[in-house]
Amino acid sequence: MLVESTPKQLEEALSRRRQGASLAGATGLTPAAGELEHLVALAERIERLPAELAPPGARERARSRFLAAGDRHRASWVHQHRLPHRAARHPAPHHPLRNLFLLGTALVIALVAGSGLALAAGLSEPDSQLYPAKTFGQRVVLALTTDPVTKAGTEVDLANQRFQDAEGMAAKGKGGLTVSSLSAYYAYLRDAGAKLSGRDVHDARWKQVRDRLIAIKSQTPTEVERGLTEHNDTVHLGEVRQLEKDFAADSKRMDVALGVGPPAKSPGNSVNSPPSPSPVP
Amino acid sequence: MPPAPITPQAAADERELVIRAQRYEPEALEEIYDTYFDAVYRAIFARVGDHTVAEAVTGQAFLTALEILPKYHRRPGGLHPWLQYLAARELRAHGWRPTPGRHPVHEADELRGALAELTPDQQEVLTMRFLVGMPVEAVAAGTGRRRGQVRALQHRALQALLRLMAARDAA
Repeated sequence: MLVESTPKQLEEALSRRRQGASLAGATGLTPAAGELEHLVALAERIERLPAELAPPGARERARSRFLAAGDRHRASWVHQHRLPHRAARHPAPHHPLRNLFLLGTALVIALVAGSGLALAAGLSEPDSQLYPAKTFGQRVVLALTTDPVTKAGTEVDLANQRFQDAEGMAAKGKGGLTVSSLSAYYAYLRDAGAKLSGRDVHDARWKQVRDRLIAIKSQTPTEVERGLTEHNDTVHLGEVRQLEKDFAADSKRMDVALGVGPPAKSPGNSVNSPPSPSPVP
Repeated sequence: MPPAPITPQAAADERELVIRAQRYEPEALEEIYDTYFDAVYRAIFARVGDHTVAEAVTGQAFLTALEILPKYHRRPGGLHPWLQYLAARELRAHGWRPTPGRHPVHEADELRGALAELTPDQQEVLTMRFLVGMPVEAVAAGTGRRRGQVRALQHRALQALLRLMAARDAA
């Protein structure tokens, strides 16, 4: 009885046979050699089956049928892959007011965006990235104001804003911004005082601005000092006190010049110009 | 004669050929036909020993190839194993059998008759391995099987054929 070979043994025997080994040499000495010899011999019988070429007529007939079918497939393929016809797109009718409408829309968008930005900047604090835009806008407004009294009134308002900024920054423990805000506060007060004291006409509008200035400059930076103290910021606290001390002397001279304080002993001590000859009630 | 091994350049050329054939360009179809028709025909003729049947089966195999060419994905063995596989399927669909009652007058007829009694899978593998002369890898690529499966199928097919031949001799 033959011992069964394995697929691997058969493949190896076929390979050795193709390399020129004899049938016995190809199958080797394995127990399955008997069966392997029969299988390899049978494979070679299959290989020896007569394989003839097609007669020329048959080959040409098959070729013609194949190529004709290819042409039909080609036509179908081209039909399927042709781009669909699309009607040309007509341009939209041009309305006479179209450009005006577009311009108006652009203006509205710019206005809304600009207003939003201005509002955001106006509400910003010194530690905000929009704060430089806010101060720039304020400087522009000041530069465009020509009337000294009106300009002084604007400076009084800005001084008040800087004072509030200083309080806010001190509460946050931001000493550097506190000092710069307070410094700007005093600078605006000095400028406003100089402008008012330089006016000879003391009308109702002048008095109104002067009173606002007196009221604003009477604020003491108590909250500022408390905020810095709470944050143990002694360095900036010292700077704040120095600013306050520096302004105290100027403030007295300003009062005299604006007619709200006792007359100065020497006329050269006014803020910017000699105090008015008679105190303004 | 076994097919020559496919070089990288030949594989690239055939990839280009297939792309053109999938667009049904006539020159590409002619090239495929002229390259592979004879090999496929010879294998089918070796199986049936009849030019009429070989012509019908080979022709139909190439027409089927045209039908499904757009879905053809390049295989490691290339187009040849695929066309041989299609031809073997067409032979099965054709329903060819040795003429019943006819006593084999030739050794080849006896072997063809025994081959026709194998399962379709076994017939495909033996045809591609020994009539076309393809290596196991190409047969695996052409029939969508793993190499181990092809070797096992080939082994079982030859064992079955051996038993059939022995039975015929005994009869």
